Amino acid sequence: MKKGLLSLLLLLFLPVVGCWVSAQQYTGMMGLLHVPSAETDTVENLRLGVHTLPVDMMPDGIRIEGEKYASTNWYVSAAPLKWLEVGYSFTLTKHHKNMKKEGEIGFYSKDRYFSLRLRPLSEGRYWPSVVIGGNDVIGQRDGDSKSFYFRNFYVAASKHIDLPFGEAGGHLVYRKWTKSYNSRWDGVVGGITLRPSIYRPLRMIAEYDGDGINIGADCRLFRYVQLQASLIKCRYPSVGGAIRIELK
Amino acid sequence: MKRRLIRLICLLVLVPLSRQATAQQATAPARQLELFCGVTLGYADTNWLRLYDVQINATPGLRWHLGHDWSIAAQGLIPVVSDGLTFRDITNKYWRFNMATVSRQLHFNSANQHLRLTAGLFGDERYGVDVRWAWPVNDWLLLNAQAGLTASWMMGTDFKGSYDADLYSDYKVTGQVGADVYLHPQNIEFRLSGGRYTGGDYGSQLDMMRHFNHITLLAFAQLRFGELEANLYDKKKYRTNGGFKIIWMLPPYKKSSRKVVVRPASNFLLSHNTRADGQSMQTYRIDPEENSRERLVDVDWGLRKEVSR
Repeated sequence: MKKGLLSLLLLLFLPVVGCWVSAQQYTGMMGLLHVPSAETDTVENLRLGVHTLPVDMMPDGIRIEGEKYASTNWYVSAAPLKWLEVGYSFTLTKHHKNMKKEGEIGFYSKDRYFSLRLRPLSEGRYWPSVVIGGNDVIGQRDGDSKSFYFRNFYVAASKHIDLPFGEAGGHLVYRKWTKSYNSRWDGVVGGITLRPSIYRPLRMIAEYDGDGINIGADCRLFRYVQLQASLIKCRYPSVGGAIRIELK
Repeated sequence: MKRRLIRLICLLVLVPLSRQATAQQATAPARQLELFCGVTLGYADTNWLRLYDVQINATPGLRWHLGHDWSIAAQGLIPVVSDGLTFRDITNKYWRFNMATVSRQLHFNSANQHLRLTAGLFGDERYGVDVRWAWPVNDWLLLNAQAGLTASWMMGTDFKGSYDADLYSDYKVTGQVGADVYLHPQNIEFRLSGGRYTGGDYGSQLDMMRHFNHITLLAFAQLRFGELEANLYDKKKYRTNGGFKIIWMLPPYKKSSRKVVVRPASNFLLSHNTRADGQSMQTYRIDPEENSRERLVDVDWGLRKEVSR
């Protein structure tokens, strides 16, 4: 019985051995949970996914009748080159149906944005990888957009070291949000990751996003599926999944 | 109006076909009939009633290779899901004809010049004649141009669902010239083009592509000149536009030598256009399986034909 269980587990794990990098942020870009990182994927790829955003991850500027609410983020992102990653996301937003006050409230609209990451320096033996990037980087209406709810720019550095029980990563980021209502996530943020040697596709994450501590984990299953689960501020659950297609 | 169309087709047929014109590369066998079907997914964010207006069509088509680089192609539209878009355009609900073309490719190999002449009912509701030229200068540079004399046509249904067809005489000359640069080890391609479009507007476009075995990722940027009230919704006259495309080639990837081939459409295209006004810098399609990854003129340049599918 034990042998059978072991064989089954091995069978499950085999397809994912060999592709360690497993990361997913709520925007579809590489990163930690609510904090970007300088990690990049090992191969060019395309991702299509969805991620839930608890109230605490939503910008204060997105409200309906003065109340904040939880939502979901849908995205398609791609790494056409190993040093370049681009993404297109939309976050569902609530409004009155047909913009009439008496209309029911529901997810009748969305906030769309592009994300971009460039890696000028890849990780070496003694130095970290460095990534510069941003979310909501292009204004939709020739620069006069009043939204930019998710607009932020950052510089991130990541370094990994091998330990007897797995691979540990340290991630340091300086991030600036352009809207003042998002300022609680400004400044120096970062996190640590651990990829246990007994199951390398799993990555455990703890991070500080400027406003609190978040914990979570992500995992790649069967090469094509990427999952992430987290507790924002160690309290509010957030989950996401994506289809990941390797491009060759 | 039908006479005019027949005249245009005859004109194409009577184009002096040089005997020195030979195929640039092995193409589908003569008399091969390809039957295929694709899917189009249209979505538009235009109101506060739903997240997206959605239109899903099945697009059955055929291509008949007549030999000597002649081919006939046709395509129909079968609406599968029509949520929202029908509210404005009732024709989206009905089965209809989308394209019928006859085309001839001319390959002047000694001069390294390649042409494609097409006539008929084009996609995007234009009809007329179209000529495309390609000159692979070397292994990284290709010069190309396109010119067309087209007018608008409509073949579908009226508001009562009755069958209706119209060929208008609002002829317009359109054309673009372009230069394509291919970086071989990286499989990166840049295409810069500019010219006159079907709305009568002028503009320039830059495409940046990264090719993979069966997928191409494309980002584009457009700059428009001339007066055109482009956006119906906010009445703004945008001069800039951008977006991306994901071109997904579908199996089977190899050409069959059978006389009759039944297969899915060669590709699925996901296209995002930021402005999506449907008016500025518009062109028309002359092939039911047209996509940015494969060239309409068969030239052995850039992405190798054997890996293009």
